[in-house]
Amino acid sequence: MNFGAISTEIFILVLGLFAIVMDLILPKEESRKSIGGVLIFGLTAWAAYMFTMYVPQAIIAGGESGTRYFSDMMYVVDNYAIFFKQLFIVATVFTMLFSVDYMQTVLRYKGEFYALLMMALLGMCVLASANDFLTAFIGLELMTISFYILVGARISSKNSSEAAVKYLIVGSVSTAIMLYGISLVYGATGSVQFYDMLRNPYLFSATGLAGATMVMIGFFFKLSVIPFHMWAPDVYQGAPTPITAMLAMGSKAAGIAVLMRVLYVAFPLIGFYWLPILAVLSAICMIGGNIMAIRQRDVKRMLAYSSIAQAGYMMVGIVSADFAGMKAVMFYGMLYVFANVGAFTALSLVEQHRGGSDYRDIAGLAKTAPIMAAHDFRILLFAGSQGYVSGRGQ
Amino acid sequence: MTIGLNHCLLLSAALFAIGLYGVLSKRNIIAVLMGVELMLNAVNINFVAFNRFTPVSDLTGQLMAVFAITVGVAEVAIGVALAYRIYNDRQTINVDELDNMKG
Repeated sequence: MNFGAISTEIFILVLGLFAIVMDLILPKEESRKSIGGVLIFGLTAWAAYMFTMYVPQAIIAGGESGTRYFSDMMYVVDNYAIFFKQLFIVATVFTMLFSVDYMQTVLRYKGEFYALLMMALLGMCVLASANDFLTAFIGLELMTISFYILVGARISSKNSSEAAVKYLIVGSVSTAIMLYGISLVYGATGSVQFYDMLRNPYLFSATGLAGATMVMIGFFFKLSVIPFHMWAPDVYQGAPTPITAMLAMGSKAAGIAVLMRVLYVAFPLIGFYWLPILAVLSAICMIGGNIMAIRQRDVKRMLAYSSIAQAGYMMVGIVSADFAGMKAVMFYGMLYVFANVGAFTALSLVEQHRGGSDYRDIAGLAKTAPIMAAHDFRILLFAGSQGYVSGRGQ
Repeated sequence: MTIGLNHCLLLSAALFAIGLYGVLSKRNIIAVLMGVELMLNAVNINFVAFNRFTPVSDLTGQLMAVFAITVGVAEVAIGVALAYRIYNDRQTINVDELDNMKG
């Protein structure tokens, strides 16, 4: 047992438990902002410390892999996983930074918000370094179950509970489909570990292929790729704005991280047949998402369709199936987090002061808050041009 | 006649299909959650059957089933809590009436 390999997850779990305990200890009239402050400080320090965890290029070139495993290859900590974990931590820190005031005014249960956010972050980190369908499944569920609660956290709003129920039903059906696929793959190969599947010839039986297809469909649901996207706009609109930001940044990046690992490590040979389908789906996402975004009246809904289009951009990098493509996807994921933080910060401020995120609420922003309006406009421009930039990077 | 792998797989496929039909056709949130539960239990039968009837050395399938049961319970518990909130908000748990947000 190499507990050093999972130090990040242990640290996040401790922070989550700390939030729960502090919420119980603090007196009722005390503000919960202090818990958020401690969590932000801890996570920022850890994200900086994680730069020392990367395996240097010289060691990899020297023939050693430098990759660390936990618990019999179930859990892999390589540079890929560390990068994504840093990204998730940064996204969570930004979300907490701009949600401190919002949460105090909108939510009734403030301490639980921080604890659940930590659990969602833990799920994302587990997903990024899962090397086993069991670990991937647990990480996915840890993340989505926390999000079901967080999406419904605005007790005063009818939309919030509606969004949570829609998310829960679609999410649990997609979980069931994916689990059924995993069980078929397990039946065909006798293992759930990614490295074992790579070498197993029985994956090409009818059972294995059906299972792999169902697993991929489960991932498409989670990533809201277009034929399976129906839940995303409603959930994004109904959720509290910081949670919408986390759904758009963290949940999507985590899905991409595990999808790449499954495609390239577990199913590389089947993945070869999947790539044309992925290419078509990513084209549909890019075109359809942007066209449907035009006619939305609510800005959060518009950003939901925009995030569907962003998933399409990221899938282009996956389709290329080489190191340059993977690098482009990771670079794009980083840009995507920073662009979305700007958009959602402005949006949550508007919502806090004007009570909604409709076009009517945004109207006249240039007169009352010119700097924020300019910032918002710049962010939206950036969201449009970003696909082009990282496409060029590739 | 002895019960073999194929019988278990047929049973689980039938359960999965019934659950999916329930999710798609029922209008009550609780009934929809029952459909989801049927789908998840079909998966458990699959895992345990594969572990029992195929020549594998370890108990990974049973382990997966235990985790799937846990996760399914957590999901349905949250679903029931949300159904209660929907009922508080609108005095109904019919999914057809959840149409505040469109577009």
